[in-house]
Amino acid sequence: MNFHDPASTAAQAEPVSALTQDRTPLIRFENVTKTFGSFTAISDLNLNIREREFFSLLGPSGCGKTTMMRLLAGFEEVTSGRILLDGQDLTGIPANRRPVNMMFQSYALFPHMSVAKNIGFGLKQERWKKSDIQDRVDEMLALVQLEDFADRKPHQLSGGQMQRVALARSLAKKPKVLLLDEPLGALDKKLREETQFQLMDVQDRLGLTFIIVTHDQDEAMTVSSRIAVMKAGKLLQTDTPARIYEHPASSYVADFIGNVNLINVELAGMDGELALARWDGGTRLAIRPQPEDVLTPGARKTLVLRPEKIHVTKDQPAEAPNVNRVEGTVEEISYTGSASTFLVRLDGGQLIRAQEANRLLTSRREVDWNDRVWLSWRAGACVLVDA
Amino acid sequence: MSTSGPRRLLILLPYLWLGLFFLVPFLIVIKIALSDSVTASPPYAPTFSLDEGLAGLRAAFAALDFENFVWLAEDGIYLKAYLNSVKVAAIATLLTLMIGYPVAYAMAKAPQDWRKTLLLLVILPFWTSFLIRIYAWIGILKNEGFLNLTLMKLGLIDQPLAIMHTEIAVYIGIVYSYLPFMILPLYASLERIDGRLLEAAEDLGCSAFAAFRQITLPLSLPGVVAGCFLVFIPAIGEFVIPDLLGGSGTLMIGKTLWLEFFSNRDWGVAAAVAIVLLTILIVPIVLFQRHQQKHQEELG
Ligand SMILES: Nc1ncnc2c1ncn2[C@@H]1O[C@H](COP(=O)(O)OP(=O)(O)OP(=O)(O)O)[C@@H](O)[C@H]1O
Ligand SMILES: [Mg+2]
Repeated sequence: MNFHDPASTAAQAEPVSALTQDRTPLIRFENVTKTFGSFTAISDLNLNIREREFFSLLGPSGCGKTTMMRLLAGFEEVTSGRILLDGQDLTGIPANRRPVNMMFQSYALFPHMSVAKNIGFGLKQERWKKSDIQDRVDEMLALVQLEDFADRKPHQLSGGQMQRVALARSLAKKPKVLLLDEPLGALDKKLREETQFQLMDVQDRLGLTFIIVTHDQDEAMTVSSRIAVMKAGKLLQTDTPARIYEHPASSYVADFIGNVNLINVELAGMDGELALARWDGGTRLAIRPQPEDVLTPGARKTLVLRPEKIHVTKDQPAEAPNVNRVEGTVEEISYTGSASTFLVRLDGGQLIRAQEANRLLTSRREVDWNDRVWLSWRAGACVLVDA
Repeated sequence: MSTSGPRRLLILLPYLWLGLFFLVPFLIVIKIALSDSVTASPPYAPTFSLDEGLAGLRAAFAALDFENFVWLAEDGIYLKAYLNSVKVAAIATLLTLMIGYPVAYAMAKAPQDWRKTLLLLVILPFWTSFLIRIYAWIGILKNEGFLNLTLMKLGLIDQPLAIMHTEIAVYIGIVYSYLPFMILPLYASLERIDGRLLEAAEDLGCSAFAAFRQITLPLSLPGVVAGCFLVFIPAIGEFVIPDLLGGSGTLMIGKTLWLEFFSNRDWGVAAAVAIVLLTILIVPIVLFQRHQQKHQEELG
């Protein structure tokens, strides 16, 4: 595979979001590089995060997400470049004087302190009055619904409860920026979803800026105002969840987020508003191009086609200029409750993944293993990225 | 759950061991403590024998009394020796803690691949006989010893420091000998502390010192308690160190016991001294056990 140059896509992707457009950035990474010995963990990275954003860092293991958080929190110093918070250069400011709090992946609760003491710890360091600490701790306990657990020790809590204590502790000082490093990793799916909404609610109510690291893309999609996709210390794309999903800047981003069919095509020319492309020299495909697409005939591109955009039918769909149709045989059907995913082997040998919502009971499903089926999708349902 | 024959035997084994090598000797010591001293062999009376049948045994039991314990209570020297032992052991424990804590802390903070070596260095002295190491201290501490010669050569002192045969020498000996028993549990508890806890504390506004005081110190407390007991308990009854390094002025119960036993050949009083010492030690030992158990429960 051949990837986009990350620097150029990051620059191009930056000013898109209407939601966050005209706010001045709260956090600025300016040409930040971080090396450990000879290893470059973060490489010449530029990033703006605006106030009240819920910003997600997404990327494969070891790409530098935690390192970025630790740089921001003050546990690591940048090797070159600088990080600005509210216009102030953070270089040289120790972690305990940054208005940034971090919720650790492992929770890092103090095992010898009660839940209330844990939550009030940061306030005690600032020499708050006892009664004020008590009030804020109560407020935080109510927020995470742990009022009855104030006197418990961490080892007497369940994983989900510990996680909520950690959240309450990191929120107690109402920091300008809250860093959450895989905060929900240890929770089961249901509790996870519940907590995601809790997080969003808290962020909204307190008007804070959240930066979250997650391995779970559904989570990132759900909670974020913007997502940054990282790879090997660089940002590949920074965008709203919808743009990241539907208009990935590269096949890498497309592949990283959700399921996708990546189809190598060669541009053939234009047909009115539609671009025509040849797939493996054979099938002609119609694609509705994006305004920023550069369409040179003969150029090799990758077509990004999400499975749920593809219709699976037994009958041949009616011909239309903006509908693409291909025929193949069903090799595999996987059932996930709300939808079924079909793996279809085309006559040309390619494997395409298509997903249909289960509108009927499975027992009444028309399509079965080894059936001949037609796959069809509209020209506007797919995008082109550089091959 | 029922215990099968062989398994029950296995469980019985430690009890058998304890009974044979602790309980029986202990009962003998109690019996001697309740006997009277005589110039004979063995140097106490009465002795139990079955020669005179049941009546003889009954007579022997009747001859047992608490005379030796009364003697201990009446003669102030024993109380003084006990109190002094507790004092010396307590001060030595405190000194050991003050030296051991920074050492253990530095070891726990050392780079991962150094720690094993450092640990080895701590227990390295055990490879030499305890007695030889104490004799070596005589060579260092005596008036014309290594320490005094060096200091005089350097011109720091004109007169040799009289350390040998003082309580200071005893403290040096105990602290030196028992330091590993302090360092090892301290190191174990310090090393276990998750570094992210300190980062979290710092993140919440702690200075490095405040984080040490509020996080590291309380979390290392189990190690402190364990280390203190491991030093204090054997130090109370210590005999070799006060005998070799201390002077006649250093009154410690271990030495008193030895004198009663070997110089005075008063086994009865010596046994009584030993029993009282044991009762004194039972309190910290039970406390220690309780603490360990509580700590285990908290971890599990
Ligand atoms: N203190 C360090 N010394 C040397 N290398 C480090 C150090 N910290 C991180 N790295 C390296 O930097 C890279 C990025 O690490 P980082 O922890 O930021 O990854 P990550 O994106 O958070 O991964 P994961 O999703 O697995 O948590 C990794 O290759 C890691 O090995
Ligand atoms: Mg990480």
